[in-house]
Order: sequence, then structure tokens, then C-alpha cells
Amino acid sequence: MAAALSKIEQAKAELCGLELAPRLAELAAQGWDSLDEATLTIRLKWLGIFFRPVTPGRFMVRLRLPNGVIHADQLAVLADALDRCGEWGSADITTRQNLQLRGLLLEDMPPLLTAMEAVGLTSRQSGHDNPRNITGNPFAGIDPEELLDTRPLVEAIQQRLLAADGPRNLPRKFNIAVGGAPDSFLLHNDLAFLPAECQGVLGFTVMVGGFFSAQRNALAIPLGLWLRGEQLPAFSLAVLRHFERCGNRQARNKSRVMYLVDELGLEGYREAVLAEFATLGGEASSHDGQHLVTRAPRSGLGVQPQKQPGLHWVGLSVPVGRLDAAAMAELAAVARRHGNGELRFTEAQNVLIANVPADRLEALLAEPLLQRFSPTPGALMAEAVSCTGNRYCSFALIPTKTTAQAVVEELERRLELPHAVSTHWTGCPNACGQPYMGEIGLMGTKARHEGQMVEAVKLFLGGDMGADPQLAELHDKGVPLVQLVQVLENLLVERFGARRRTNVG
Amino acid sequence: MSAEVVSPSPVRVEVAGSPWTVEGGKLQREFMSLAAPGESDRWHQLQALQRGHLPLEPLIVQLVNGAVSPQADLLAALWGQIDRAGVERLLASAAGADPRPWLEAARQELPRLALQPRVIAAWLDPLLVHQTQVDPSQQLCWLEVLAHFQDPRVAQRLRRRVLELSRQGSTAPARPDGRVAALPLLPLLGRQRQRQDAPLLLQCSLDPGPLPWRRAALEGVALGLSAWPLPLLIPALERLAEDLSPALAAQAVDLLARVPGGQRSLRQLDGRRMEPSVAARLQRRLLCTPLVLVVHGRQGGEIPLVFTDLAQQLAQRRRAPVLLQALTAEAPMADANFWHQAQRAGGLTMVPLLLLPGEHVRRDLPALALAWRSAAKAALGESAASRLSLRRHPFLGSWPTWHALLVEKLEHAAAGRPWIWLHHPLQGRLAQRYLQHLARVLGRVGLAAPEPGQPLELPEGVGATGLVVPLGLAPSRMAESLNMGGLAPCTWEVLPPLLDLPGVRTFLLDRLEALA
Repeated sequence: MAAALSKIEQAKAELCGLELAPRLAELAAQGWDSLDEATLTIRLKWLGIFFRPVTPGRFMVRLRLPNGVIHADQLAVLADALDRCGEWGSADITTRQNLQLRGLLLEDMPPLLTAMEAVGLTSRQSGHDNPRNITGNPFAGIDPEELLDTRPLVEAIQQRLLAADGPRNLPRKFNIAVGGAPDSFLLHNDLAFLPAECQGVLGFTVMVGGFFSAQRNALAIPLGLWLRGEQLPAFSLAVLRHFERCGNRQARNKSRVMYLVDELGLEGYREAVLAEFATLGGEASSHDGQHLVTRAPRSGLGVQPQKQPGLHWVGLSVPVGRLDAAAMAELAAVARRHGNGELRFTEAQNVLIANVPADRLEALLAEPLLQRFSPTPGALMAEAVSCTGNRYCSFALIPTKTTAQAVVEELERRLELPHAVSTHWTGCPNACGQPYMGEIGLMGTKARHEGQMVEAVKLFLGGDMGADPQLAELHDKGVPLVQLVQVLENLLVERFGARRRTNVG
Repeated sequence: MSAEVVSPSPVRVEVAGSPWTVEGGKLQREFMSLAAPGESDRWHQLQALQRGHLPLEPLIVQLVNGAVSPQADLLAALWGQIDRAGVERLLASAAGADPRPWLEAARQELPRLALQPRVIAAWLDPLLVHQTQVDPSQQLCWLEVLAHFQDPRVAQRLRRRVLELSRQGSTAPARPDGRVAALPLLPLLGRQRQRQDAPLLLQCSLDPGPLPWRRAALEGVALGLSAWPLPLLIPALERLAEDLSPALAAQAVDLLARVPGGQRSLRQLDGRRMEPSVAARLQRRLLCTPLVLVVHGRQGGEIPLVFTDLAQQLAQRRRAPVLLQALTAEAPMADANFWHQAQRAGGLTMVPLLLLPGEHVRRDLPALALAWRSAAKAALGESAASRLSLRRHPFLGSWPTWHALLVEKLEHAAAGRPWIWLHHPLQGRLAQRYLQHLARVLGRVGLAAPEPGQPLELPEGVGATGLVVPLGLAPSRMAESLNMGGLAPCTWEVLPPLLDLPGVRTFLLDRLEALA
């Protein structure tokens, strides 16, 4: 007897969330309280609309920004949407080079989605059991060090997966990334294409199975296949069709694709995917898994020369990735004023302004906005990554973003660091802030302090995204937030070469 | 980074494994006791509990007998699992005494779960009873827990409480204000979406009182926005938009921009005295309709450059699409952005930049209007198109402000010289009446332009030198033949097209920008 479908699987099987699109205005007029739970909390995510239990009635929209590329005109549309939300409106740059807007009413959704469509943006299938925003080299196309431009490849994969015959009911979410430079660390993705040579031709070796969760954390492993760039869309589709058909739908905590690899064995999984690929007319070459990614990701902050002579990108640090309407509008204006309007988001939750001619640099660096978003942040702020935290997420046990920002600012006030140190902050074991990837990882928890249960973090150390990648391991299972600055200060001095400033009052 | 071969041993670290993960819906390990707060296992246990993977009864027993304290994280995990009998046992026990962890748990999980029939069946009635039985000092807290359920009985209790607090505030301002502690009730009342609560919420927003109370009431209005009757909502929001509190006024402006017909209110508010940030916000919320400028065009549908320049500048100023429709060509293509803006602004506007009431004005314009209505239906569907208004403005030549401008500009251009004006030959009584009217306005009778190739014959006695004014906004065959073809007397200057005159262009930009 077939096992009964879980509530989530039932909801997905009954109606695909994409079918709600034509009825969105009608649903908004009815009011969100009149929606059934499955529609409210599951199906709307197929349109990129998220009900947030922490702010009921104030919704979130998560976009799709392939390769993290956005134009000033598009950013201005989003800024306008947030501006309408007043003090409720905010946006986060995500660890998938994406943007999510908060504080919107359900009534705002139909006009926002139409406005987004008019400027070439979509939020389709950006949440729940869908292929998430596809990431690529944030400097693609402008990077003097790039091996190949990931933008057209990422765009083509997205188009293929969102086509009418693309997957709509995966067993679980699915992350895809395309590497294009020697620092494209992507092994935390379910499917990563890393630049690699095969018989002297530059293409991609396929890595599968990377993910972080409360139960298990894994880096992607080589599948033993090599593809040419133009094969990536069809291959991605083949992987997803196989996952859609064969992935585990009984236990959501064991449904990421790595579990399917475990179940079939690497050989068996590879054969199954190749068979699926063959039905799409594809054929892959065998490969030993060697690739050209050799070092940890660059931050890209500051003024950086592009591969195009005379042009630069300027990377700006957005503290913990949080934006508001005014900042977004000003970012768009600055990108238009000094560049060609193009901006990029990075996985470290920062922003780049691209295509700035040399004679515009001085004026750009004098923009007031750069007082807030510095091109030369401190060694900790530059690489502080944070999940949303309990202001907006009901899983989170601590306010990660505000804590991260305050702690990092205080540490930078106290310490001098010889080099950047990455801190990854996450509010709960679901690990959205990727704590295992940071040199220092911090995960929200509760701990007893002076007889009271208080907000605290677990500390992880040793994450490395370089030539020999390592996931961070548990160092301390509960540091109360009130003691965190002191504990981190000591750690940074003892292990990361920090020196205490002498003039700190 | 490089892997030497395809490795069956992945780089993998199990750092957060839990003995509480479940295979096939069955527990791998028997539940003995809940980990204490702060212990690393607790989060995983509560996740398993929330998913129905742990037995409930031992926990309920432990909660009822006090062996386990009712912490908020545990209660949050119980909302979706427990049945009515279990709820009643819990609420009747010591675990139901202190409402604070229940409230914290409710805020965390109930917004999502309170929509589930099973959860409603388990919790709503017992909570309704419990809320009336507890100590009066705790009733407010339990009411907030209860208020996460959308139900007329809940709405009634909320309404009554808000009303009491509101009256206390106004009749006994010297007493400690209970309203501050009750702030969360107002958004929750809004979420109940009972139409009858509109007056109360709006009044709480408008009445003098603690600002947090008024703002919480307005957030209640926002969260139930589409439920409120517009005749009540819009005037109240208009008043709030002029409130002395910028925070209230700003949100009122944003809400007006969202409601049907709100643009009209925003236009009425435009120019009133407001705090600068609110006035700036209002400007950002004002929407212009897309414009269709009907122009004559040239043979083959060509549109003179002066019109395309005008349209581009106008689109920038209005932050809305502007299309040019030539009478000599197919209708222009309206894209998704055009229709999107039309929907947001509630319509589109057609302005004929035509100077004379010829056949085009009398016959073509009504046909064009019909065509735009059909295009709206095709683009948006019958229902959405029916909500769009097509605003038709009279042809430019009939605007009194245009007449005044012509007088001023032509007298200025003539600079004391004699001048005459030429018009395309017109047929019909209406046209003749118009020409007579314009002759009175301009102080001289206009001349019909000569047939192509024929020289212009000036009326007798007008003088040896002067100015010929071809009445046209853009270059036309008439003007070109007078000028280039040498058909005008060589001692008479031919005035360029009117849109080349700076004052005329500015006039049109200003007037067209100001249209809704």
C-alpha cells in the first residue's frame, strides 16, 4: 500500500501554486485571512510570495535574479514597492545573490508582479520545493580573472527550468550554481557546475549533493561527468526531472538530492541521470572531477579594474545585507549616474556597481551613500553574512542581523585584524546563514546564564572555502549573547592574529 | 581545489545530527523526556513534536502534573498537534495559569496554524471559555492569544475591549492609560476583517490619544484594508494624511494609494500643507495615466520629430508612458508597461493635439476612443478593462488657454509687423463657426492655405513686409511649400511650426504633465 501523502505533498498535488497567478487580485481582495493554510503558506511561494508568521499580513516577495544581476530600472521598481510600505518595508540581499522584499500587503502583490514583469523581473518559483535562484560568478563578464562568463549559462538554465514543461513539484528545494572563476566556491549547492577541462576543452565538471540542514551538512561530490556550457540547461532539467520522479517524498528531512545519491549509490545515480539526460538528447563525457576552482571567493569590494579597459566595478559592503527603500533608490541612482545602471549582488550579501569609467570613480566614491555602504569596510564587516533572524523568521532563536552588525562593529572598534575573517550568522539549526562555511560560524540557541534562559549562540570554527574545503565544526555549544563580544575578541586574538587597539575607551 | 578521481567518499561532516530524525514516520528512539531549555537536543525534539513524530500524551501528562514547565517553545510545538480534550486538560491545569508563555507561543505559530480547521476545532472553544474564567488581570493577555483566531465571537470581544479602552482614554485621561498594554489588539482586530469594525479602527486612528495607539489602529486598518467600506475609509484616510504626526500621515498616504479611487484623494491633497517628508511621499504616490497624444502625422504615417521629442520629455516628467498616435498610421502598440500603468492609475488619457475641428476631430476621434477601449479588453480582459476609464480631452485648438497663448506668441513673433494666419481648408458649418471664433480671438480673419503649387495671395493693403503664420504644430506640406517652394511673398517671413517656439513647447509640456 502506498504511503499516505504528507500535508505538503497533498497541497502540492492538489493545485500548483502557479495556477494562482491569474486569481491573485481576487485573492488579495478577499483578504489573506480567508485563504486556506495550504494556499497561504505553501502555494503562494510558487509565485514568490511568502506569508510570514512573525509579521502576519505583511508578506515577503523573493525574486529571481539569475547570477545576481540587476539593473537600476529594476531596482527602482522594487524600491518604489518598498517605499509604499513605509517603516514596514525592508529588503535583504540573500546568500543566493538574490533579493527579498518585506512588509508588503497582499493587495500590493498584483501591481508589484505586473510592474516587475514590465521591467523583466520575476519572482516565480523562488521558494519552497522549487529550483531556487541560480547563482554564478558575481563578476561574470567583467572579471579579469574569469575563465568564462556565467551569465548566459545561468540565464539559459533558468529559462529552461521555468519553461512550461519544467519541474513544478519537486520533493524539496534545489540549489544550482555555475562557476566561472578560480574562486567560485559552490559546493554547498545541490548541483554545481565547476569550470573544468576535458581533452583541452573548457567546460564544466558536475558536482552533486551539497546542502546544509538541521540534520546533515554535506559538500557536493563529483558526479564524474563533464559538460559543455550549452549542455547545462538540458542537463539541469534532466537532474530535476529525475529528482522530481525519484526523490524522497515521505520524510522532508531526508529529501535533498544527496539522500537520493545515497540511496542509489553514486554509480547508480549517475546512470539514472544520464538515462534521463539521454531522453532529452543529451550525452555527457566521463570526467575525473578535477576542476579549476582553486581558492576562496574574493569579496570584490572596493574599486576593482574590469577586464574591459578603462572600466571598473565598485564593490560596496551592505552591512548584513539589509536594505531599505531609500537606500535601494539611491543605489539605483548612483549606478545610473556613474555606471551604466548595472548592479550585482554577491553571495556575501554585498552589492557591486559595474561599468564605472575611470573618470567617474572619484565622483562615485564621494557619494553620500558610500558613508553607509563602504567600499572599504572593516575586516569583519566585509564578510559578515547573516540569515534573516527572529525579526522575520519564526524558526530563528536570536535576532541575527542586528546582533551580527552590533557585535562586528564593536569588535572592529576594539581590534585590528591583519586580514578579513568571515563570520556566518544563522538563527537556528536550519543553517540558512551557512554557519559551516564561515571561518567563524554562529548559530542561534538558548543557554542558561545567571540562572536565566537567555539568547545565545553556538560557535563553529574552521570553515574553509579554499583549495581544501572544510566545514566548520562545533567549538562552543552556548555562548550567551551578553558574553559574545568578549568571547569573540579572545578568539580573534588567539587564532586570527588580531591585535587589541590601545586607544579603545 | 581538485579531486583526483570520482570519489565515493564525499567531503561530508555531520555536525548537527539528531537522534530524533524519523524514518518512515516511525520514531527511531523512544521518547523518554524532553531536553531542558538550552540543551542541544531540545530544538530537534520540538521540531519532531511539531511534525507529529513524538508521542503527545507523555508530554501532556508532564505538563499537567508540573513535571515539565510550559515554556513558550514547547507550547508553540503543541498548537498544531493537540486535540480538544488535551487542550482542556492543559488549560485547566497549572500549565494554563500564566498566559505569558502561551502568548509568546501564539505569536510565533498561530498566525499560520489558526487557519487550520483541526486547530480551530481543538483550541477556539476552550480558549473562549478559559479567557472568561481567568483572573481579570490576565484576560487581556488571553484575549490576545484568542485573537489569532478569526471568528465573530473573538471579534466581538476584541471590539468590546478596544471600545472600552478607547472610551476610558477620552473620558478619564488622568487615569493610567490601559491602551498602551493593549496595542497588539488593534492589528488583531483589523485582521478579523469585520466590516463593522471600520468605524472603530478609523476613529482610534483619528482621535487624539497616545501615538502608539493611533498607529496600531492604523496598522489594523492596513491589515484588513480590502474589507472596509470605501465611503468610510477614504475620508478618514484623507484626514489622517494631514495629521500632524508624520508617521500616521505617511501611512495614510500609502494606504490611499492602494485603495480604488485613492488617486483622486491624493490629487486633492496635493498642495495642502504637510510635513515635507509626507508631501514628498505623496508626490511619489501620485500616478499619472498613460497618455495617447493624437497628432495629424505626415503622409505614410511619419511622425515629425518635434512630437517624438515632446512625448519623450513628457513621459519622463509624468513617469508614465506616452504614445503618439498619427491619424495617418496604424495605432501604436501599447506594451505591458502601458497597461500596467493604466491599471494602477485607473485609466488612460487621450489628448488630440489637433488645432482645427476638421473631419479628424469630428469623426476619427470617436473611432479611436472605441479602438482603445477594445484594446484594453484585449490586453486586460473584460473585467479589468471595465475598471479603466478612458479620459478624452477636447482637441487642443478648443482650449481657451491655447487661444490666449496664440495671441501672446503671435503678437510677439510679429514684433509689430503685419501678420496673417493660414489654416487648412475646412468644410462644414461647425468648422466655419470655429474659424470665425478664432478670427475674433486673434483679431484677424484667417486665410485658407492655397492649393499645392499655388502662390499665396495676400489680402490687399496688408503691407509689403510681414509675418505668415501657418497654423500647425509641426512641419507640414503647407508650411514647407510656403517656405521652400517660394510660394509666399519673399518679403514676408514664414513662422516656423508652433512647437518650435519655446513658449509653446513649454506650455504643452506643463499642461500635459498636469493632467491626471
